[in-house]
Amino acid sequence: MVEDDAKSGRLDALLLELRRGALVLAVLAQLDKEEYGYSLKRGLADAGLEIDEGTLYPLLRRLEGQGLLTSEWLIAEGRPRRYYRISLEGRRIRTALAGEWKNLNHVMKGLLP
Amino acid sequence: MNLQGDAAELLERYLWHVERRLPKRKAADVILELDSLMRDQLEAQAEALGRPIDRAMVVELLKSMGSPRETAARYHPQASYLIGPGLYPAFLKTLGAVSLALALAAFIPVVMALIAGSGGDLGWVLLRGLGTFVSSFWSSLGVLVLIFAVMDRRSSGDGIGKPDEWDPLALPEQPRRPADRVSMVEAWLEILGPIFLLVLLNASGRFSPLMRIPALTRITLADLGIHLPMAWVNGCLIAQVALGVAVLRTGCWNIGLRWAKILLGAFNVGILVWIAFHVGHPAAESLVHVMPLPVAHLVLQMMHIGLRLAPLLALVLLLKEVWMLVRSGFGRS
Repeated sequence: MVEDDAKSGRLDALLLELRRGALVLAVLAQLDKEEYGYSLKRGLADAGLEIDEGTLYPLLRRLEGQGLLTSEWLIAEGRPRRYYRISLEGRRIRTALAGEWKNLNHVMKGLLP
Repeated sequence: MNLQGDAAELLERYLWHVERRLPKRKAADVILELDSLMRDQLEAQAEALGRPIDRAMVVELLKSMGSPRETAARYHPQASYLIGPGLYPAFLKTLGAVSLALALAAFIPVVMALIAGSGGDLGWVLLRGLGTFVSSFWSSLGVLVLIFAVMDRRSSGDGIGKPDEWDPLALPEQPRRPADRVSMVEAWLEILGPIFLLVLLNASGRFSPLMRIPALTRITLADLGIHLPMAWVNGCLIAQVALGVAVLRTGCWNIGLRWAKILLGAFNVGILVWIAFHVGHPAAESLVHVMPLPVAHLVLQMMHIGLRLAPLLALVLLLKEVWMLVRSGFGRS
């Protein structure tokens, strides 16, 4: 039982690690138009990428801190919301990441049984 | 759909516990955004379920977010550290206080020796003081880093771990008045102050061996005529550490903790009065093996003045606590 839990925990950690890099690219891909945190989460979920809020919201802040996103506070539906959009630098990084992603995808197809 | 009643209170309580763990410069902005995001999520969930937002929905969301400690940690970009962001401000404050104490301990004997004209060559005396300070500072820095690194790893906070391992309903309530709030730095100082005194007073009955000042480490409290009721002193200090831990957990001075602080404060006054009445009057000549006679006279005089002022100082602090309790309307406001 304990061993099963440990194995499951290890798998979760590996899956998380695998998804982490893809997550940045997915977020950058979604922010050509302004989105606030929850609408972005819903958009990603609709596209098939479930991401928990505890990971997404700090990630947005981090990407903004790195200059890949810009943000502004707007009042929408009677509530202040912080809207994010990809920056010029973010677009440049996204292009590079997307190229690497496609390359990796091609390589992995050849490697995986 | 509006968030109301106990569901709103629980969300606000969670946000307050996150806020007190964030750096001040970005706390307000992060909390405003988190509040907005969580309300969006709750409204969407309520709409999907076709019922108003209730406490159970908030509990479920908070569990998925993780404990306040985890959430706050995610907003810190540092990937690895010896002392985490939660404890680092307290570490810096403690290091500052210890450095000041070490500087005083290293240079006061130098100044006194110079006043008494027994210090010898001025440059050599100053260098000796500086050397004492530098060596004791490095030792203390190492010990403090070790203590804080261990505390950082052992601190359980309010349920760090897997999201389903923490219970949002167990979060301590947030204080009603800003004056009752306690920052992480203040809470840690409440714990570390008594621990420092415990180490100092129990180090073989001598002044701290960490100071590495030969003159001081060769003097015992008994040499100075000070007799401490150690069982009572230790009991009081341990109770103060426990009080500090409780304050760290709750993040505020609630009515129970204020009463506990007042009781301990009264106990402190009692102990200090007892010490002042039982202080001996050793002859300055008995200290000539560690310091010149004029310095010994000065040290004993200063010590006697200090021992008489200490109960008064403790009384002032006690009265301040009583005043804080009265201002809070005995917890009714």
